[in-house]
Amino acid sequence: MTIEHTHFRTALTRSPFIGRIEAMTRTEDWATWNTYKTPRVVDKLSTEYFAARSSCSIMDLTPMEKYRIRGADARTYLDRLVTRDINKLAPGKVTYVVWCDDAGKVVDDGTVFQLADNDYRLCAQQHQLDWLRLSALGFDVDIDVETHDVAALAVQGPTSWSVLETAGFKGLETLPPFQMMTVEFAGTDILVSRTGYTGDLGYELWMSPDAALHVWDALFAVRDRYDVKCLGLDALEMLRIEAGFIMPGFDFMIAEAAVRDGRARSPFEAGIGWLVNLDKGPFTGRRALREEKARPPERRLVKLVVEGNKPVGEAYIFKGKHGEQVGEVRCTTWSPILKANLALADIRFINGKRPDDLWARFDYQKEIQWSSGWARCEFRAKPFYNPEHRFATPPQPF
Amino acid sequence: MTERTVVIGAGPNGLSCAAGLARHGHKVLCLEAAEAPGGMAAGFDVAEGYRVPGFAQWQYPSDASSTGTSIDTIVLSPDASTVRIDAESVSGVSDRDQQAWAAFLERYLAFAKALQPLMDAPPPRLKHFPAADRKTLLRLAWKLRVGLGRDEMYEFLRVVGMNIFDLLNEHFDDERLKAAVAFDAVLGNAMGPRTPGTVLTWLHRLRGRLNGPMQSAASYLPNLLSDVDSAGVDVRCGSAVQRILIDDETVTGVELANGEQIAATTVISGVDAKTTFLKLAGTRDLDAMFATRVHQVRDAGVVGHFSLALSEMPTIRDVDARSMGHRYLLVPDMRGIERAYNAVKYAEASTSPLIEFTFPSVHDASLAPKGHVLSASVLYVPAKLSDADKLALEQRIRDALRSIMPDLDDKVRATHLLAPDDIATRCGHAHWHHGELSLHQSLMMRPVYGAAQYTTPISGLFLCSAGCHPGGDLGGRAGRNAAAAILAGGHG
Repeated sequence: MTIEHTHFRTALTRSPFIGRIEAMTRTEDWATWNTYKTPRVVDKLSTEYFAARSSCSIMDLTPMEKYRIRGADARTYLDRLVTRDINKLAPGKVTYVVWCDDAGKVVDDGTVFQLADNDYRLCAQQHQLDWLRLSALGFDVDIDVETHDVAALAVQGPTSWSVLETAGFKGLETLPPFQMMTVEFAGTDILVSRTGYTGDLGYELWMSPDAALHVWDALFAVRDRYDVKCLGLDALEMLRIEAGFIMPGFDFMIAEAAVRDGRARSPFEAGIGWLVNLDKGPFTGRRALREEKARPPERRLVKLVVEGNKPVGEAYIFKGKHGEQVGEVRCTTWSPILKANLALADIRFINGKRPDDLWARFDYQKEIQWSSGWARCEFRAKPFYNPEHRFATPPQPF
Repeated sequence: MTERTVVIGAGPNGLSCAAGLARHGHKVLCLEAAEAPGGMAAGFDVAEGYRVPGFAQWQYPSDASSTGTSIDTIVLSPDASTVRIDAESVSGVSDRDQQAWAAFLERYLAFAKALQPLMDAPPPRLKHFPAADRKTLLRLAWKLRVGLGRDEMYEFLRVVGMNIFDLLNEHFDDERLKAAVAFDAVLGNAMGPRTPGTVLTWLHRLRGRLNGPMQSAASYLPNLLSDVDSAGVDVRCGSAVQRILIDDETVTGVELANGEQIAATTVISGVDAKTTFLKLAGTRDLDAMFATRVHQVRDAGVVGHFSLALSEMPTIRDVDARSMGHRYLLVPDMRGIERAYNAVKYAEASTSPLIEFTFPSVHDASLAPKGHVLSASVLYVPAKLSDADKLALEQRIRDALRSIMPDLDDKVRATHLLAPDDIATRCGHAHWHHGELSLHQSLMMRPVYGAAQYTTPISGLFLCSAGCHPGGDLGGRAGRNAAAAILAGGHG
């Protein structure tokens, strides 16, 4: 079974899980993600967030664009596509990658799952088929869209392993981060990877749409014992900022959408320079990135902790209070678990150096009336929230 | 310099580039797949004892000091008298058209001259805008504004993107004269007279006219080869390159079809961009968008070649038997040319083909010691023709020729027809310019953005083919520009 394409009648594609989510929602707060009907908030933002941080939250990942890349040149093709060394991947392993255009600007990021020799699945948040196809010129590869053929769930949070174990997914205790295994569940094979977008312990389940509801029901059947919640996009945004994960297309313009010169960002500028391996051999954008690396950095997307508790939604960043404007906040959240105001900000470097003494000037409303204020920003090199239990193998049982 | 320089392809541009580099100390090895050098300018046998000297029917002198015999263009038609275009004037048309032609030619030669700074240098880059490129554009601006004057500059800007059909209708009445000019504007490109940009393609062709009047092409290759020989280029024929060897985005040499590897620090490709990058170099070392641009180059050849081995010279109606050394056009009016072009859009040969022909043996008797040879460019012919379609086309060409040469059939000893794909088999590519001379494939976008200064993203790999700025026709201008760019320190 594949997911029925009825968007010409309904405008929105329905994931196999959507009936369950509709039955569960108290807000009717919907968004679209790659044409799929997707909840922003299912129940309550705070309970969804806290479930992910202290128990377990489950999100429908079916709208994620999934591409199957197979063929004699699949490995070389991917190695030429992305900035990381794909040769280090092996069957059963997963890696986080970014790919760029010729100018070294980010087209998108995603995860590559190596299913077998020369057989990969690439998952991306946005539609990538055109870029993948034009990159295939001269390579013996087949690229198939599996978005609608593979249903997916993210099971995230400190108790996620226990939830899965109790629900009947056995053997996951030996699965280390960024690896995957096939688990037999109710007579079907479910591919489980230890991956996620929340910065916590977590798994992603990849299955045939036929199996989707069995899996969903089994997971939610344990909610009496564990606080299992369905996660919407709004809580996910809080979680990913805490984890320091970027979202191309939101935190900065992606290369294919940017019209104005200087709006797209390279991996270095996006703060994911560690994904770029200039020595691995040729890949699209390498010449441009090598040249960029030889120059002093011009700008970076950086992690900032902003003092106080006022949200700094749309703020400029200055060097020194009332000083020179050096950047803009790109995304922000109040972090309940850290009790801190977090932001990712695009900062212009001065003489190749990150300016110190950063201040945010922000506007806020109090009883309708606008005020503005200044808040000191503290730079963070590491993810804001990165708990040890995220990497523990075997995971901590509850 | 002691490192080896390899030039792939001994066509007009490859040889011109090789000679230019060898004269400045490069140790140049020029590799040619065919058994003899020349590319599209190489002669070939049409029958035993009958030979044509390449695909081009004529040439403009490559520099002003050239001393060849000039030839005229004679427009023939079965039901009307002939029109003759020589270096200065046109005859066989009304007085009004004669006067209009003189003014027209003067104006367009001035336009072609104004474009000259663009043609003799690598195309200017607009990003970063280096000083040399600024100079090229300033020279162009100066020539346009000061050289032409205000009114003529406006006229230039008005017409430069236009189609030749509309332009010629503004100036002339005589359909034969208009057809002759329109033919020159479309020859070699997949374009009809109404295709936008055909004024520019005509200007491109007229550029050669600045060095002197049209000459027979028979002497082109022997002159070029003696130049190449005296420069000390090692030309190795029967050596097809099957791969350009690249290590980590840097060229290391070439591999021949027999597996032999030849190390080189500089490799210059005289073959078209698609073959160079997608077949010989491979996309592994190229950025994805660059490879895509190469893949998108429009380069379908639409010119076929037809030749006849003749026991003796036939008579052409209305033409003096003593002046058979000219260039003859057997073309319908401009609407007919446009209709002929329509066919090739649908991969069919034109029902009324356009025929440009010469008798090269008039200029070089050794080509046909026992008679004469007729060499013709035929428009429009799709890349592939079945044997049956070939026979039908051949019949149509013979019928058309017979209509102005009634005694032709008695003198034909052999016929020879090559579709564009046959020409490609013989010399690697069927397009005269290795890529349409359209606006979107001109200047800094020729052959593609990212390889327009004869340099490529691969360090040590350069381009010099007709696919580069400023395009093809005999003369090897792209090859000479490439050599100059490499000597000036261009790097991949």
